[in-house]
Amino acid sequence: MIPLPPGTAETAGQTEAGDERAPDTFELPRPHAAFLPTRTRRVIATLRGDVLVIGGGLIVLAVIVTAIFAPWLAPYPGQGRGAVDVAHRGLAPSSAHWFGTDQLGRDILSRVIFGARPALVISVVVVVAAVVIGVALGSLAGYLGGWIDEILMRLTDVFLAFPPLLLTMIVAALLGPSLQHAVIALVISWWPWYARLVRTAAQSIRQRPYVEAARVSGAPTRRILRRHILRNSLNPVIVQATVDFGTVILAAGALAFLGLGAQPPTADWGLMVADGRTTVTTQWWIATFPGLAIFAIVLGANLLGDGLQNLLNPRAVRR
Amino acid sequence: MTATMSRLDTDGNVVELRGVTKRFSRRRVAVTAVDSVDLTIPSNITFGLIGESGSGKSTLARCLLRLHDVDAGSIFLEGDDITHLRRARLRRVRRRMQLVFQDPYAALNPRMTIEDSVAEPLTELMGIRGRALHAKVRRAIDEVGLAVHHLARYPHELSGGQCQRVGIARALAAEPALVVLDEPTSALDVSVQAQILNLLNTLQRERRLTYLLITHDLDVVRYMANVIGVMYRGRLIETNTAEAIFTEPRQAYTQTLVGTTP
Amino acid sequence: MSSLLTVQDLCVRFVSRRKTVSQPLRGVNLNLGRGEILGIVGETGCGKTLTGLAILGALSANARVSGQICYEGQELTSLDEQTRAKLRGTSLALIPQNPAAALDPVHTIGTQLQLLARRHLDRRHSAAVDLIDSELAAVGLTDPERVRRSYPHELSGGMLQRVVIAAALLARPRLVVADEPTTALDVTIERQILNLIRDRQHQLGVSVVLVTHDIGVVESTCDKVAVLYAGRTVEQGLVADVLSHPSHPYTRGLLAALPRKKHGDGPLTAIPGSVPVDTMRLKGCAFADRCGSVRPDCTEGEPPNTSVGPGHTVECRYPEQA
Repeated sequence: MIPLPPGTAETAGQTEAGDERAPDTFELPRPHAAFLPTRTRRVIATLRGDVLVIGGGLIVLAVIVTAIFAPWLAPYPGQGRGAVDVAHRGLAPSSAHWFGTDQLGRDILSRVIFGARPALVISVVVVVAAVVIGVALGSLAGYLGGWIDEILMRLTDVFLAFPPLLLTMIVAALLGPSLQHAVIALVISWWPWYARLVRTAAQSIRQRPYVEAARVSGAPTRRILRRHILRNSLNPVIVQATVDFGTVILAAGALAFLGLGAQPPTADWGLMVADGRTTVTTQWWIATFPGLAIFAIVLGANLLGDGLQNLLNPRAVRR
Repeated sequence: MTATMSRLDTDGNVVELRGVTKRFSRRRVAVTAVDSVDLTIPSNITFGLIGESGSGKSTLARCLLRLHDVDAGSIFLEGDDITHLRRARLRRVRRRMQLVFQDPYAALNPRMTIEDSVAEPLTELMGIRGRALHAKVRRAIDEVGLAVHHLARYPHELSGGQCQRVGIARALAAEPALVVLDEPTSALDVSVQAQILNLLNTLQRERRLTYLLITHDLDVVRYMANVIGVMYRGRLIETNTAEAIFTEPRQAYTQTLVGTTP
Repeated sequence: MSSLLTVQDLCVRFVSRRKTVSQPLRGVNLNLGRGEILGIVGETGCGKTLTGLAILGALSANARVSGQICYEGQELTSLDEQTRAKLRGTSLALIPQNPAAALDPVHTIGTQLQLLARRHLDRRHSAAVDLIDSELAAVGLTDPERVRRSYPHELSGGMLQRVVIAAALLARPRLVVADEPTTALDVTIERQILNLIRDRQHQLGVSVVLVTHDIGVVESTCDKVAVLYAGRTVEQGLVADVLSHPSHPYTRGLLAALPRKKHGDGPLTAIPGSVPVDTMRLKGCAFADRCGSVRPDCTEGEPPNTSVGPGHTVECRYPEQA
């Protein structure tokens, strides 16, 4: 035991007890309208002048609106659903058929509009399922480490060793051609990417002092995972998911093109490109317009994803 | 290992460490970060732990806080053997020992409001919720000199000194007996450092807290600590009253260390 | 004494989309003679690192500089980028804050120093190696050959700091900017590095601008000191004058806030509040809202620059007379 001088615990002669509690009085500047909540203000400030992000957002929004209101937007809704009109086969674009007609006389514009529906459903289902599986497994692996991490990561290694499209094709072919099977195949080849992404983020976040602080504060593992690890590792996931929203449509299109995805007479962009590929030199419009639709949504999703990257950073606006 | 809580009569000492040893293996090479440290911290004092980086002072504190599991030795907190406690029992003793961090920004979750950060130990360690929780958080924030309007803010909207006040409020919210201060002011400017040190001293006086202060700043430790322990290569090589460490250091290493105040 | 570097009314603002988004420097004045060490001291965000970068001409592209930086009678701000780049590394050099980040992790120390020797001194291999070895030995690295063959991660923090000091001095510059050279180091090593800088500065007759947040470092190492607050020099002069007779309330506050007391000596004198973040909206004296002796007219217009002693100036309407 160390000899303590008497009364060391008491600090003698302190007078200005009130003064040392004085708060840091300086307030951060609030240049924008004070009534807007911070988040909204941040969004506006980041978006202002960023034409590309707005453009990307508008494209994505347009596709969603198109999918919802397809029967009202399409000039020939019946043909959009698959009705055949043999009298008007293979017509070039005209005022009656802006995008022309296909080999079965169906209005391409109507079919492109209806094609937004399966495209949207597939990509939303695939991305949501892949994110849920990937985030759950990835955050567990990243935070807990050890053998759980080892097993999960070797499992993702196996999946990631295949080129994604090849893996999707193999699974889809094994399951048999149908839209549902294509979705399952896409989820199987997509989730490991999210698992990796989240694991890396979780691994770095678990070292942060605020996670240690949460442990000292008595937070159980599941709360640490949810409030501290997940909340701070979701940014790259959201960005990636936005971009993947387009990429999945592209992959689904490829599957349909190969006959492994949506089946006729569904109006599916990939399927339509496949229909038009033999006559692309003579009837270019059959494959071109659905191809352009895929291009537009992929581009839009990428632009939006890039914009979100800046937007989601809480410190982005403050300089 | 069964986690029976054995008692030890520690004469009112808050902390009693006996032969605490912690090894880390890096690429199959075992490094002894803390080497059989015996340490006693009496109630209501500030124990300063000094030493160069890598001397094991932070690791020792984290063993004491049960953030690391020790390889050998025993840890007693207010007489209770907490060396091998787990889960619920461990959570119960966490209430009695808290930690204040070096980097005030990094210690706060950037996506949680100040209110949520301060509320976390109250909810998790004391089970306080709802209206009572809000009142407690307000009182905690008021005690460290912050205002109610700070509660809805996020860490990046506050200054470093304000964030450190939040860190202190969070540590003290659950009314601990022991607070480990891990370089609490080394990321702050001198003028703000003085505010924080004064605040810590006031709170200690009012709440009869025991501090374990880890620092490499000799001015800070001399001002704050009653007793100082010097760590060197994982060992606690010298312990004495603060004045004695500076005026009559016994170990050669302590002599070089305290002889170097600029 | 003839001065090597005079900085007058240096302002730096950053622009984004043609709008000024911040103005971290609003009037920095410095005066450094040959063979002197000038300490620039201040708190986070006062602009001390930016001042160093502005002298070296190493600010980012969206920075707009006004005011004068006069080095050896030459106005640096009016030089083109090529000429300034040539000055950096030969006449002007930087000792960085974090040597581990300043060195390339995939090349040996020797390779990196040789690159410097070739670029700035046009030395061929063998001559360069001799020069490098002698410089490494001069900064107290006892086995220069081993150091040359090492990669940065194989050396300790203190050794790396010595390496970057050697690198900065290799081309025998006349002015070195040392940006917080000891912040990341332990007290015992800090002492050694500061002594080393002092010694080499004496031997080579080089002038040093030492950027630091630690008044203790200024006290032990520097000849002159400039105290920066919110982007302005609020007080400057010889270390002996400024630290023994601080005239600006901020300087006095900084000194009083140092915990140079024994346990139980009573509370420290803190400066209330914190450093202003947005210097663009300041009116009058930037320190007014934290100042203990503030008067109503302190917020009207910039405070005047008054002389309170030989070479000792202070920017305050009501300075403490020595």
